[in-house]
Amino acid sequence: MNAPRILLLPLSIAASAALLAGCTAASEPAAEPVDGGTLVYATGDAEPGCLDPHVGGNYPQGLISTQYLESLVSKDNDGEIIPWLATDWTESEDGLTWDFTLRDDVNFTDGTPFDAEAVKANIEHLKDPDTASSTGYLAVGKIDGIEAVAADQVRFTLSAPDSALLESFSQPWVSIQSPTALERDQATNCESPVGTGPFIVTDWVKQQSVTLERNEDYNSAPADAEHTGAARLDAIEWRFIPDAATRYAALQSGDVDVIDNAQPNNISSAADVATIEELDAPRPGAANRIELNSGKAPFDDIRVREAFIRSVDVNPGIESLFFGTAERSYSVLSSVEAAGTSTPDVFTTDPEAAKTLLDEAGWDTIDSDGYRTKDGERLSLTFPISTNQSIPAEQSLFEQIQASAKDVGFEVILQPTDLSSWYGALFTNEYNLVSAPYTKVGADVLRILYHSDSIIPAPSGYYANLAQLSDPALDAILTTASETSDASERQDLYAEAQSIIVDGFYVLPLYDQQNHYLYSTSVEGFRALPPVAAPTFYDAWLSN
Amino acid sequence: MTEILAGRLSQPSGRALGIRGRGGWLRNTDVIIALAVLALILTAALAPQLITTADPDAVAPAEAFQAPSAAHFFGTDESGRDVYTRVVFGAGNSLLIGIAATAVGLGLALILGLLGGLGSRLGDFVSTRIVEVMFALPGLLLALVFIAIAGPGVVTSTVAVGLSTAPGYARIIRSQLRSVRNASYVEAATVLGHSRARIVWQHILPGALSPIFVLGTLGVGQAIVWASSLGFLGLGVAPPAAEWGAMLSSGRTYIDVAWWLTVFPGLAIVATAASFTVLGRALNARTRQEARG
Repeated sequence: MNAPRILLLPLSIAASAALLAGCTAASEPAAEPVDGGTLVYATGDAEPGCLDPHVGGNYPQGLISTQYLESLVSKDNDGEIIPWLATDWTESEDGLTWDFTLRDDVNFTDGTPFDAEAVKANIEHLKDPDTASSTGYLAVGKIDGIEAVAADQVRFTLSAPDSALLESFSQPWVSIQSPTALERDQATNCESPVGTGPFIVTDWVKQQSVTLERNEDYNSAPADAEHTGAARLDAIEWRFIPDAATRYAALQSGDVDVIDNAQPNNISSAADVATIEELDAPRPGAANRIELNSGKAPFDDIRVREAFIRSVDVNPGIESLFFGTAERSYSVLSSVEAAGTSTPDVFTTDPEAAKTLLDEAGWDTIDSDGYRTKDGERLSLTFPISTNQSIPAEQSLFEQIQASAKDVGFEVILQPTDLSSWYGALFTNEYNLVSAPYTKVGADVLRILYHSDSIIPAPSGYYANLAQLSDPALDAILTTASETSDASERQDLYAEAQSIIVDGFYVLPLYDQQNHYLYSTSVEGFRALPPVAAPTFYDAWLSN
Repeated sequence: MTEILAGRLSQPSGRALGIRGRGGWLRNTDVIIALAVLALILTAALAPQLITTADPDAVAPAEAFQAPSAAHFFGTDESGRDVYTRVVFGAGNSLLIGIAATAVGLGLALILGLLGGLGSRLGDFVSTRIVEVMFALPGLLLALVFIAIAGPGVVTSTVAVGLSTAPGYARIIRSQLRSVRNASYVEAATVLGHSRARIVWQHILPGALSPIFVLGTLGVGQAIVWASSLGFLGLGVAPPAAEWGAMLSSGRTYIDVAWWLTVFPGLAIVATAASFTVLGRALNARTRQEARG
């Protein structure tokens, strides 16, 4: 019966080939993006109190508002500023006048046209004390006058040249909203801000989720987007799951598609899971660091500050707590900032030197609990910790710092607290140590964080200079840098500024602001938008 | 929980716990085990140095996440601290919170209960309404509301747990007082012309308040669990102090890489709460047995 088999052979080969082709098609559907579906995103960041990022202006607001609001410019992966709602811009010779050309074919989702008047209304909204903006307010601080020259032409006049203006404009906290919507009362605008983005806020169930639906008329994708026209997803369900373990479990079970603020141990175990992928997108601006409040005792004495930094060794803790997902930073700036200088030599650990410094500073007696005292007062440091911003690994790291500082005689009082109590402690100057993430595009973040002007609270009450560093020489360098358009000159000035900050022992850098996303392999086309590394789902689609 | 207990306690029979049939309560193995566990936990609470020589706060990042071994019976935590030592040292905090919270709850309940059970009609009306309002809020929620107002910390979370257990106790005390007040021997004392104070002190209170001790024992276990849940929510002791609930909470983050961070403090909570409950029930049964002669 050989013949029939031979006859059958070509047939079976053809069948196998068809089968194989079928398999390939089934396992690799990546080629053609599919429209439709609802993507579920679970954030571990604090739930914003207001979905309008002009109000206050923190990272959680930036994360979500990137889905429905857009900025004048963006940044590409190489760090170059690219057009978005503005197509072109020119800076005057003296750097005091900027002319922006705007897109003339874009509408907000409430039908209001996007034009120069809209831009003007937004900058004014940021500057209005009633808005209580901090991040956006600081970013547009040098803008003195806004003039709608034509419907698609807007002119900014500045109080001083601003080499960081474009970077400031690329941030979500300076995004452009419908002027009609901004005229509503703040509470309403907080519930449902209106922008030009690919999605629209349609519902917000507090402590649970925000529903974002596709903007069918969308036509204003940034220059580096993969496609044009409306988004591919029907909707995004933006859930708030503050607990990291629950969030990861939800991703594992397929209940959610993307999570942010992934825990180091989860990232490390997800590496072995075939259906989960990781996106590591460090945030720009400052590195995660501990600020030493030099505005009050005992850290008004540089010797005590140095002693604190010498007394702690965070490296072994970072290694074990972060499972190799975070690298120690020796810079005030994020590793994505080209101007950052790394100075490991400044941050060496030497408990003996720390003890000598404290003796010299007069903290030379030791009480029954082993803490140093001076004039009967204990060397005590209050350290409020925002449990919304500091992940458990970081909180554990702070406990380790507490333990090693104790060996030298510092009493570190850790106060884990919710975000609003944490802000409260900062506003009332009831802290000696604090770790406050600060995201801003570009090295100008140094001016925001360490210029003495930043000790003056923004309308929201927040002040960014939490080290309360007040040094006229540093102020002068930072001001000059922010007015210098020559890149290499700026670089030198920022290097000089950083050396003043680190040599004065005002900060203990830890690592980059960790920004790890874990997502299901069924999510395609998901990326972090370069300006502040917030997620964008405009190009994203679901393959299942 | 307290409502359920209240139901149990007001049952006329003590038979439910099945202790009478087996003779003296000290001969009961459950009770002996419970007593042994409590003795161990009390030792840990009062003199932890007798059980472990290590420092509960000594960090060693290089030794983080070590599984249980001869060197570290319960393994090490995320900062390389010895989990066994922290469980031992945590006994004091957890137990203190449990006992203090129960005392706060019973104290408050006593005031409300006496007012309701022995006071005037108006006093009864006021105290009953207060208890009803407190009952309207679930216990833990009441505790959370109190913490939201007073701020987190050991003292506030202790008071908060106490506060939330009070209404249950208050109801039991009131009904006990009411039933004893109408007992024939009290009536006899009244007929004999004894003063009201004497009647209350010598006849009503002893009869009515004996269940309180039993209730307290049962309540301690419950309070520890509740205090642990508050610690679990980050509202308890300040770091680095060891407390079972807080340990459970921080260990949960690493449950996929280090099970021992949650299992051992969890076992300690279960063992303590269970022991107190077994003991409380046994005492309860015994009291009733005696009362029935």
